[in-house]
Amino acid sequence: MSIPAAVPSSMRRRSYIFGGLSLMAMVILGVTVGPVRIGAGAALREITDRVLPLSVDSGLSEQDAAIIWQLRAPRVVLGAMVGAMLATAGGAYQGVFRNPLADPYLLGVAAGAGLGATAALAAGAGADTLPVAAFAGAVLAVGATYYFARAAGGRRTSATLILAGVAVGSFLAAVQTFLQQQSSDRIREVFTWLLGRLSASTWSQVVTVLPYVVVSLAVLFAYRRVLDVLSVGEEEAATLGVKPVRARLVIIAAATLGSAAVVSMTGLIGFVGIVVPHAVRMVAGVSYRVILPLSMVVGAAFLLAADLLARTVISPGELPIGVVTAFVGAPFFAVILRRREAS
Amino acid sequence: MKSLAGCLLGLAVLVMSCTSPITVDSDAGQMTLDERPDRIVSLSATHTEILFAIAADHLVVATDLTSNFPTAAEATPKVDAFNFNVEEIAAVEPDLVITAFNFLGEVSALQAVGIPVLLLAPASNMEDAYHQIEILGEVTGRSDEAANLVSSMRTRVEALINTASGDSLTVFHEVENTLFSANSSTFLGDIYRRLGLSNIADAVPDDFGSGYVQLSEEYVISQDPDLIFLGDADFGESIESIGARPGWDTLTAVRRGAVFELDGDIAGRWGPRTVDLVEDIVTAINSVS
Repeated sequence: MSIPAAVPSSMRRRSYIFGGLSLMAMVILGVTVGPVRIGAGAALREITDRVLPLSVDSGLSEQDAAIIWQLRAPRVVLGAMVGAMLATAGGAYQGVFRNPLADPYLLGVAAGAGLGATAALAAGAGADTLPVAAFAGAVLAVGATYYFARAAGGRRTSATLILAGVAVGSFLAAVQTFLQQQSSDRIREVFTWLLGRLSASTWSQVVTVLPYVVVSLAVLFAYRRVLDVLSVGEEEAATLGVKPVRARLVIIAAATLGSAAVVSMTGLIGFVGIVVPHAVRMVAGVSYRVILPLSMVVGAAFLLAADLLARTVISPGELPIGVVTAFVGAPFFAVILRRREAS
Repeated sequence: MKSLAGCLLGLAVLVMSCTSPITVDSDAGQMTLDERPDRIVSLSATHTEILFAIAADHLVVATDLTSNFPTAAEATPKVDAFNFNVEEIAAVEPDLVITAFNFLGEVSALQAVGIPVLLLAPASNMEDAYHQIEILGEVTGRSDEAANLVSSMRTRVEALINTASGDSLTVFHEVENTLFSANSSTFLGDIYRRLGLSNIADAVPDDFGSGYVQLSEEYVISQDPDLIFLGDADFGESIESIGARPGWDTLTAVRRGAVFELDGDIAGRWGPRTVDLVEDIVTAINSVS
């Protein structure tokens, strides 16, 4: 089987190089830019000292060293993980549902994860249980969306799925709001969480989320060829030896697990899952063998760039990062919609 | 004729025995009451404390849920000022409502149903607080008690300021754990300033002019303040929780134990117990310097 690649391989190679360089640039900016002025050289020496088995004297005061390593570094690592995960999951959802609008938000995954995490917070659970609670809520949401879309009868079109997702998402969001009102002592915490935040990133959050993200990405990458086959059609896939129903379930479960885990730590950061895979598609073609890995790299860079804006635009204050991704993402999304209409 | 004169005389006596109209400056403009109120509802914990401290408690028929001091105030019938409902308050039939906030249009809502409102917004310094005590004294006919309270508070505060050795120490006051802080234009900030402390929140632009500014974690760490006061201890923050935040273990104040939990009920009010707050702060300062 060979999937036609509409884009020459040199273009794809250039996309990888561009994505990689952007990510590197964003990582460096991420640790050097902040409300407190610390020289870029000293900041990078401090990182080198911590990461590599070298002893480098950064010349920073103990407090400035802590700002670099305890505040900025985990924030950059978590941000990159969140961006990579949301973008890759978005690409996978679009493939598995054969629906260009599918993303963690429109399917109700984010709302379900939000409800799960809110319920856990309201019950006084600790931070390390949030990914599990969020995953439970997200699975519930995807299951409900899938069920209602099927219940709509034989016409299981793209629109049916998205409409079911929107209905489920709205319902879960209403339940979440109700829970918030019930636990008003923790309401502020939940509200800041809803807008999406990276500002309180810690190494322990990185460690909590990492296994979920690694497993999820590994499964999705293993299935990227299957996604290409599925995109041709279910019957064709079956003749090529792929079990469509099982493959779909595995891909949905993996994408949902990863999305729920990052949403549980950073709150609702929208549009990454839809903007990044579409942008990647425009330059690097329609094959998921390219879309998924490139979405991962570009998604990480995109989120770090959004975070950089979030913390510099109204410095020394900070915008919720979800506001920035929506501000950049929504117009981009509108452009994509227009192009699809036109073509 | 004789009976008419008697009538007039009787009327004059009646007017004399009743109180003349009371006019005071409220933060919602001048407020005039035709007679002394005897069914007061206090929607503000600060003003409840003041009413009880100037022996006007017998005029109070209901207080807000947060009015928990003194113990007798806790036992009064309760109304909910946070989820303000004009009908709930009208049902108590007050002849005066005292409130510190007008977030939800409380003043116009109450005035619309004919209930006089005295709005006394949060004080921005001790002089403001003293003035509010005097206003409550005037309204309740307890001016002497109010004057005595103010003069004893003033004496104690001045004495405490003289014993504080806070010069050249820097302070970070945490209002809540998203690092909102209070600069020197706030009530608490003014107390820190008068005790000689230098407030790290003063260098941050105060765009809304509220005096409450959000600091970045990086900024607090880089400033390495000598003293940290926690206004959010009631919400679970402590020297342990502060020290467990990433990077905060490098702070001098955390290492020397110069992190102090303030009683949120007292630190959030500008009443008689503010003097106790000043005393706690002075004790904290003198334990460090």
